[in-house]
Amino acid sequence: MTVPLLEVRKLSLQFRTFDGVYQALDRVDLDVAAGDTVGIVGETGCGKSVLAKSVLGLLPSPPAHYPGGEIRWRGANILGAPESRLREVRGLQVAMVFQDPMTFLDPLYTVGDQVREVVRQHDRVRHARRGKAEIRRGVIELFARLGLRDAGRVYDMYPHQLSGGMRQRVLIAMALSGQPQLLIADEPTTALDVTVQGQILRLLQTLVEEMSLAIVLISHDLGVVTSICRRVVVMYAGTVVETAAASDLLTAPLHPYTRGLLSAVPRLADTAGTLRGIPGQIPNLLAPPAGCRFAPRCPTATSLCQRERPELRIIGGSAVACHHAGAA
Amino acid sequence: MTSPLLEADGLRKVFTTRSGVRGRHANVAVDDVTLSIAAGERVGLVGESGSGKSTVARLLLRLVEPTAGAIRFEGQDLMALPEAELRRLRRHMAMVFQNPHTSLHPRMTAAQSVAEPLRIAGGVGGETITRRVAEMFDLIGLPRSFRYRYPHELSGGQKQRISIARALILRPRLMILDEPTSALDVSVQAQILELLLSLQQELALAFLFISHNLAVVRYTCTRVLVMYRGAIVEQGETRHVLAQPAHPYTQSLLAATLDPVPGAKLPAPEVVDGDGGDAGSGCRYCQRCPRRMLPYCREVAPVPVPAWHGGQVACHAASDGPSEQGGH
Repeated sequence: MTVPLLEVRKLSLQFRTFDGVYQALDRVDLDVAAGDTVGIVGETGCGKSVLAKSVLGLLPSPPAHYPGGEIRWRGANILGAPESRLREVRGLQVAMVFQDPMTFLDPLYTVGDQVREVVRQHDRVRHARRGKAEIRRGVIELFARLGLRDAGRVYDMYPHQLSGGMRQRVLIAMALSGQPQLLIADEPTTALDVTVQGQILRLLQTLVEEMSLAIVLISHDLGVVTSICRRVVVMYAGTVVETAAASDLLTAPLHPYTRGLLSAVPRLADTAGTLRGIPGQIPNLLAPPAGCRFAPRCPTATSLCQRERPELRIIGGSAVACHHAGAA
Repeated sequence: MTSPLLEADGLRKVFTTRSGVRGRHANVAVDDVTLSIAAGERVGLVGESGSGKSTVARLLLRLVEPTAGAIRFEGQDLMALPEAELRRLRRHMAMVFQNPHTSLHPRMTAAQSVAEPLRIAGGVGGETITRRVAEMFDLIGLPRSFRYRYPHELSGGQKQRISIARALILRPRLMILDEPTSALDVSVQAQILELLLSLQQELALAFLFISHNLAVVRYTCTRVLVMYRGAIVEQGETRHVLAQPAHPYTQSLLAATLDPVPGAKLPAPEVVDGDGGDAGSGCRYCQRCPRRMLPYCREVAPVPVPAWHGGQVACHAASDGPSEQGGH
């Protein structure tokens, strides 16, 4: 039995805006065990990034507002916990890597100094005290472990002197500097070239194997997510529509949205050669559909779907939120 | 062989940048690119960021002045034309840019954006313009009522449809598409690709489709050109090149493309993690190449030679028949 690290239960999130209440998340569940690899896929506005930020308590409130749900870290609810408690979790137990390595580093400081700054903050929370030279040694060692060649020299370089892949490695180093048990990577390879993407994904996979790190990988790219994740959560318009083992999701998708996504991805090794988009657009979450949020675009929607929001049901090894899944 | 619609011969572009107080740095963005596109043909141009794909597109329209080389459109030498004649010729060549969020004027309605090229080209009355704009909206599958919307009232996919309408209103014979779907979600990307392919058929357009995504090119183009650091390293019929790539760079691109299929493998780590630098007088891919033969490859630049897939490849090591690497 694996220990649950992170349990998100029926988490709802709203943003109060001048235009009304934006229903960003609606009763979302997410489970991550120690050493687990979970992918979250979905398109723009599905809520994958705000879910990740919610876990770390990074959304300013207002405008963010949580009408319900829990985020349990090792059994204890941390949703709405005081900042001092969150600081013990943030970076030290759960860390995050963001999408664009170009914009997350300060151009005026060397990358080594920026990682050292993070380490010093961690030390402060842990009431540890280390000298500058000692931290520097630790950071250089971490750089080397993350495949940054000539780590001592990289420490003293500025962000503009590094390639995109190297910057992403620096950001991963920053995230791992607090020795977290869970790393949330939000589109870590989207801004990178495919060959570099492969290297970064390989690095993440090695970290899982060697450091028994758990990873939540957020991406819009099904190919990326299924290449390193054991389990995949598919989100649509603020709801979880399907959760399944990666191989099951690809071979036997249960939710019509998952099926739609799969048939919309152009593939290299395609024999059929047809591509089908999903007609329509994502709903406006200021006034989301009353029933299933995918119903307006769904080819199999009935009046029940317009009326009633489907709950996640277990079918085989998967969970799916569709009134009609498994019926056929 | 049909006579080419557009031909470029020995295109070269050197950007000079200032670095430091008095240093000048010459950056060869495009180096001796020769290509031709026949009427009604769909040609893909792939490569990583910085490979010079977008610069080639701009050079072909003379939006950027080439440092050297010749461009002919239907036999007419573009380089010899005065500005006024060039403008007249440009109406046969349209361009669609990557980011629909920034390529439309925020204070112009959709109809104004679509009508603008026609208005600038002149020679037609207001009534004709109104009628043609309405026809364009039918063609791209947007309701006519969308004519009065501003860009902020449109989704990404809708904006890209407007960009396509704007490009098509002068009834061009060639459409240059610079990453037209990279800013879009996959389900929307599929819709736009479907639209582009049906328009191409209907209007007998020629395409130059620029993309970093091999799977998208496989789906949209019959012929593909692979660029690496300013030069075309391989070209040929898409299905043959992608099935049996001859250049090690094409092979690594293919290996790094992750299809969402069960058991998809991450690419093997790169043998040489060369980070660009000076290629010397030899092959520009030499530093990263797993099949390099030193010192030969570093010193002698490969010239394009016929490849086993019927196309051309610029590689010293690619003459020995198909290998097992890289393909799918």
